[in-house]
Amino acid sequence: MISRSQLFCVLLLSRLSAEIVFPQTGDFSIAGFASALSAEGICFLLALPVLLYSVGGRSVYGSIKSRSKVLGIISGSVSAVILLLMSLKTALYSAEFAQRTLLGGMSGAVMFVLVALFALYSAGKGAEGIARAGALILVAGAVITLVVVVADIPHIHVRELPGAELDDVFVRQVVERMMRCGEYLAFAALLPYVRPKEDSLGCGATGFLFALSSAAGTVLIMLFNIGVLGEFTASAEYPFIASAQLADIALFKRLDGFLGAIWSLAAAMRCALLLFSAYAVVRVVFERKKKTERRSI
Amino acid sequence: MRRTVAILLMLIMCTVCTGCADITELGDRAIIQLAAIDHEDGQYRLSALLFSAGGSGGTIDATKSNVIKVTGSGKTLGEAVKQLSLTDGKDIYMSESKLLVFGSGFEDADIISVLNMLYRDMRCSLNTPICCAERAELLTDMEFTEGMTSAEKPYSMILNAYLTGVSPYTTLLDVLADDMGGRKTLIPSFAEGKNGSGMTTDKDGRTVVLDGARLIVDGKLGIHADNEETSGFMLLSEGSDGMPLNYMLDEGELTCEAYNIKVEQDDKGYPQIEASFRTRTGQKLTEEQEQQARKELDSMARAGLSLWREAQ
Repeated sequence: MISRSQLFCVLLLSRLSAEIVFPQTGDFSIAGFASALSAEGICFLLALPVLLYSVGGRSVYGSIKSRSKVLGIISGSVSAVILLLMSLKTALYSAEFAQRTLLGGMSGAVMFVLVALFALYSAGKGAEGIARAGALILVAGAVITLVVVVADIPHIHVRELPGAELDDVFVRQVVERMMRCGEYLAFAALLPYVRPKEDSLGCGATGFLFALSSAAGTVLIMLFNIGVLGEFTASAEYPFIASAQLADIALFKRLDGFLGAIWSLAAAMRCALLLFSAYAVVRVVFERKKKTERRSI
Repeated sequence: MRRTVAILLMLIMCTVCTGCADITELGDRAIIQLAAIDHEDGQYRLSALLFSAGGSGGTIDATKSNVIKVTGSGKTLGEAVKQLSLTDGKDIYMSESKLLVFGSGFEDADIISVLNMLYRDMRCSLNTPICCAERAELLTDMEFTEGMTSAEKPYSMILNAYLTGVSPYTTLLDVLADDMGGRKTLIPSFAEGKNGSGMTTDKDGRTVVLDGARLIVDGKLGIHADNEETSGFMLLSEGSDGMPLNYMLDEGELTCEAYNIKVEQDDKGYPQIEASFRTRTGQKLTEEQEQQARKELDSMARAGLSLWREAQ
């Protein structure tokens, strides 16, 4: 069983790693912010029923299955497939990220295999293992990110963002960003693993706090990138890493290496989280009820 | 079984991820300290100062220049880099470049495509300073005697001039961001000088000096501004926190510093400067001295006005 804090940590780590490791699609305009916030808002609204239901601390998929077996299996299967695809996407992107920012001489395929093996091994350790490792990596990621932000303060400038039309590019950006938000599905899948508490608000509050932190984290990362890189944000493939290249504290130069290593690990952990969540969903919806023997006394 | 798999995985990761596979030793890398690029007759000429410990692969000897000069040329910059690598016999590494110099031919050739290539393919850092010279190779020809490598001197000249508030400090990121934002960028410019006896190994005291700045307009080198115009531009663009001033009074030549400089445009678009003044030792100026210093500041701003307007 995992605690609510661990659940929050591992979800936030997963969300932030996607924001840093996935290649950039935004642009230097108000539309970039609008697309990010719209995607967050839509995902939140879609996940709202699950979040509200989780206030009671119950398993979403288990409850659906208990009412309708067919509906339970369909919803569970669809969720599991989405989670698996997201895990695969994360593995591909994190391998590409690690190869492009850290290990230029290494084959992307080898990197992908390593990430996949790491994810499989971590997923095999179960919810507890993922939650513990996730919390530790989040702390490491937060420390190195904070150091980079502090080191980059001299490079941050207030910039005026140009307006942009809400055209098909905007819609594409919203859809692409929505594809990054697999954490709500993972949240629903991990509910049965959360240690029950006396206050029933627990899990729901964790979900709402995660939604708020996810939006805040996305906006802060975008603001930081724009403040440091200006118009170049739109052209940089990994803006956060490009910003980190400028960080320079005394002997610590090229902090982008540290940042790249930690967030690559975080992305691999995201891969494991999504993989385990897919397994958890399948386990709930396809689990057979144990037959209870009736004995006459 | 699990332990065996874990140990095997660890061994694979150790050999693959730590660089044991496809290894490039530090000694096999040509660490470029300063890259100077000229574009003549449709050919890029890349001239680079490469780090070489003591010139013999031994320990770093601060009394020697610690660099070797290698050149390469080609129809594209990639070709020039390749030739440079072949000449030196090492893998080119540009992430630690202290300075990029653009020289002749970039009035017509595109600087932005070159910078993009250097950033994306050659992994040049975004905070690498950029400057220009009439002939870029001039900076690699000079053997500066000061500093661990002779690439450090031009860099420290740029940094010092920027901190004094009289010259810009422009990085690769500044140029790329300005280009994407449709803005013009001012970069410091070097020219040959003859007042540096002992500064270089040249017996006649031949050296390089900061000779104002040049604007990058639409990715190409544009108008050249002299030192006075550049200082004026820095003043008007609020690029300097403090500005040293020299002025004449009955008692002779005096110096002071203008600080807390603020520039606002009036209704006609003319810049209006507000500043506070103090002596170099931080004391307050007399009314007469302040009046004279303000005149000097206005005169400096007027010198940079045309460049400032050009850059808008």
